[in-house]
Amino acid sequence: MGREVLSTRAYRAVAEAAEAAGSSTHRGEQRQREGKGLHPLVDPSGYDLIRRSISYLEPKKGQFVLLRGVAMLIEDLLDTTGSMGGNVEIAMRVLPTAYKLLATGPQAVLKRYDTQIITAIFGDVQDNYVLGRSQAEMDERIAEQMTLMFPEHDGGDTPEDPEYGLFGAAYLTAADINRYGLRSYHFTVSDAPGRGRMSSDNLIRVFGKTVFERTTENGFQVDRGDLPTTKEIVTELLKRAHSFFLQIGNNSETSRFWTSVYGRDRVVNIANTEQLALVQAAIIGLTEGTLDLQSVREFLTAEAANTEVESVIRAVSGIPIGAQAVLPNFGKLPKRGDIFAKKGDLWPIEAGTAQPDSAKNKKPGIKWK
Amino acid sequence: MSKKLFIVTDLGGGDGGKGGVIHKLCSLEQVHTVIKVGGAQGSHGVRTANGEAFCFSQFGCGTFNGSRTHISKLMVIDPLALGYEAELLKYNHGVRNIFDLLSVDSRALCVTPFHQIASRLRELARKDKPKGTVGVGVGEAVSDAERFPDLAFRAGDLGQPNILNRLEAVRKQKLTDLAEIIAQVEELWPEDKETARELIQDLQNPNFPNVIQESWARLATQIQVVPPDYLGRVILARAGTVVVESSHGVLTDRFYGFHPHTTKLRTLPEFTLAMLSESGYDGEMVKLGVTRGYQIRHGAGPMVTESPELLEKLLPGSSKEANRWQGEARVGPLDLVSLRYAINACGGTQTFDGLAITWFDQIGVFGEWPVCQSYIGADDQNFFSPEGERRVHCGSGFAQLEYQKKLGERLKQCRPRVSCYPFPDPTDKESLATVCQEVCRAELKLPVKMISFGPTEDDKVCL
Repeated sequence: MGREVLSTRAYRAVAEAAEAAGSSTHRGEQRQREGKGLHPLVDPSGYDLIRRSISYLEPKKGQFVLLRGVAMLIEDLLDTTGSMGGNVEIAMRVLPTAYKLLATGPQAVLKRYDTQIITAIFGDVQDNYVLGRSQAEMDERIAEQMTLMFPEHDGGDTPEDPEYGLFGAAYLTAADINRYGLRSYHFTVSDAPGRGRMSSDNLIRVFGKTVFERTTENGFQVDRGDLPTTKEIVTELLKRAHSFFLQIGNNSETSRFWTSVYGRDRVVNIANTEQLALVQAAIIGLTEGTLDLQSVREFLTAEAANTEVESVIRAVSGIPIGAQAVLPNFGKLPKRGDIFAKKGDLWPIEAGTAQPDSAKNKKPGIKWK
Repeated sequence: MSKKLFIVTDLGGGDGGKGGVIHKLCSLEQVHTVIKVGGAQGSHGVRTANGEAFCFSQFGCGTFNGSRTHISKLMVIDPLALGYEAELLKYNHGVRNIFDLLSVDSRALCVTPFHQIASRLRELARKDKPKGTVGVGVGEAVSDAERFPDLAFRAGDLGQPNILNRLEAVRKQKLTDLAEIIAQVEELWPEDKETARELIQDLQNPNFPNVIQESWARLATQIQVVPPDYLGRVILARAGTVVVESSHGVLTDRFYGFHPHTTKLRTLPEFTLAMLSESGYDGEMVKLGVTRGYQIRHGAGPMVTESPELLEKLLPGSSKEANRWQGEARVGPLDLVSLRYAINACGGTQTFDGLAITWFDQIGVFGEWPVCQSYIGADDQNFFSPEGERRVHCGSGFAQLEYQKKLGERLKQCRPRVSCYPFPDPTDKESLATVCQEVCRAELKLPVKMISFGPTEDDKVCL
């Protein structure tokens, strides 16, 4: 997590360096040439395994100020096999638009939150790196960590292996927004069906030897002898994230597989990955209730041609609208500038700010002084 | 303008519970800065009432409270580990402005990976005669800075473009120093050979200095390296509270610990006091000695009250795990003779305003407090007083090390004379605290200022 929001200037610096190097993933490729492996920041087994999205509380005179609102996590899991090999390049290219629509634009759909983004890419299970997964970032580090990825561009046959990325999202993620009873967002972008299962050997290869211990520590029991299926993983993910499968193209086998996993209303057909920014923002706006099917047109028109806008609206018209807004605490979230007594506190101490009913019964710990 | 400063000193061999004590002080006093002294190998555990847990090494234990960290000239840093610790705090604990909270004295000595490799290879070569080391390379860096001052790296050097030759010189020096061990790698314990080969391979890698320079340069753009007068001019001049957090304990002091089971660092509070005096500190000062309610030693070295049968009862929940470098953590009844020695080595009871007794909840479950009041076998008057107390032999240099080594050998032959103080009601914290206070007042002549009944700040009681 960085400290500031993504600025155009900071993004340009990263994007221009990538352009000069000829690839959005030039730093990851350079590391491969040097035999250094994946950078720990994007290695799923790097640092703590568990990716955390934490609201930033800045210390101030013995208290803490919620500087940018409650952290809202968005994770994009991108297929980089075969024809999907250019997805990181595209994600890098559309990032400024995506960020504007989500966080900084005049009608940004997540304006009240501290928007944090994880970018994950998946390859083929035969690849050296089945998965790359960034940290939850909120400034130019979103783009910087894309440059550290290493898509091997192999595979392209079907089925593909997004299961490891979905596993990370479901079991190895800790998002502050879930502590309030709200959900984060997760998007898988691919044109192929999943494999339906994982192997424990590959799970350990991707996340390291401590994967099962860390999963348990994060509050989940995963039996290494009976790993969850794709459907079971997504079912778990849906408890904490509004999750969608963004299907590129119209392959019927792909639709059938993912519809059985996510349900019909969470599989969204889009023409190409270039639409990711628009579709993602529209889905989130509709889920948060900041947009409806009428206003979404106006919202997107500033960023895209009419045909593109119409295509996106058609794609998202079936999703569960207002799903976030009906969850408890949606209207009570702490606001930017609220004061907290301690780091890690859920609710602010300032008079007049929201407190859930459960907090009223909380007994203070023993403090003699 | 009100100024207050706490100095927290571990009266054992480390692992006394300084992390929790400092976190509590920072919770109570709104500490603006934690000043670090000692070495990068420290591991101070903090667990907060909100459920966060972290072992701090180079950042201060007030970080979760929003306190800044100042790495003083008395700290030996591991720059690569510092960067990693910062990333962990940022990504795993949301301390997004972690580098804004840090200042580093330009004179702080830096460990290189070559020192770390050397430290580990030497320990592997000691086989069944371990020194007990954390394996970070702090001692190696300190020794080298004394032997070859021109090869030493200070924090002010980190971003300099001309350090490559010096890094290469350090690498070559370590290859020379370790030539014998490298040549005899096949003589090591079978289970250590692979580790040793990997370490040697890294040391022999001619590209390693480039990698280090690159990493250090990146870190230098993130940290604020400050001039020597920053401590007095900025930190100590500011109103409010400061805590000095030292690594290690008195019993691992270079000249007052038990050679060779010591650090190369000085761990007595007098060195901190001298630094504060140089910096013109003129505010209130509170000096706390810290010990667990039982004896602990993580690493080799004499420990009179070692009681393996207490290990399971006392150590559950400890962040101290066995490792190849330090070995197993050992525990036993609190050694009051050892505590009195540590207090005297620091200058006597007048050096301290009081004690912080940690992990006392684990003593409570015994129903009584076992303590060692004296030793059986402490007869050699060169090392023990007529009352059986350890003598504090003042000095430095080789003769002092020899004396301390012999004292350590005598200690290994001593046996503890253990008494148990019953708790009228072991379930009542007041009752536990009363016994704790009375015993410490009677046996150590110091008041108890803080007792810890659990891991978080809410479990710690200030008296």
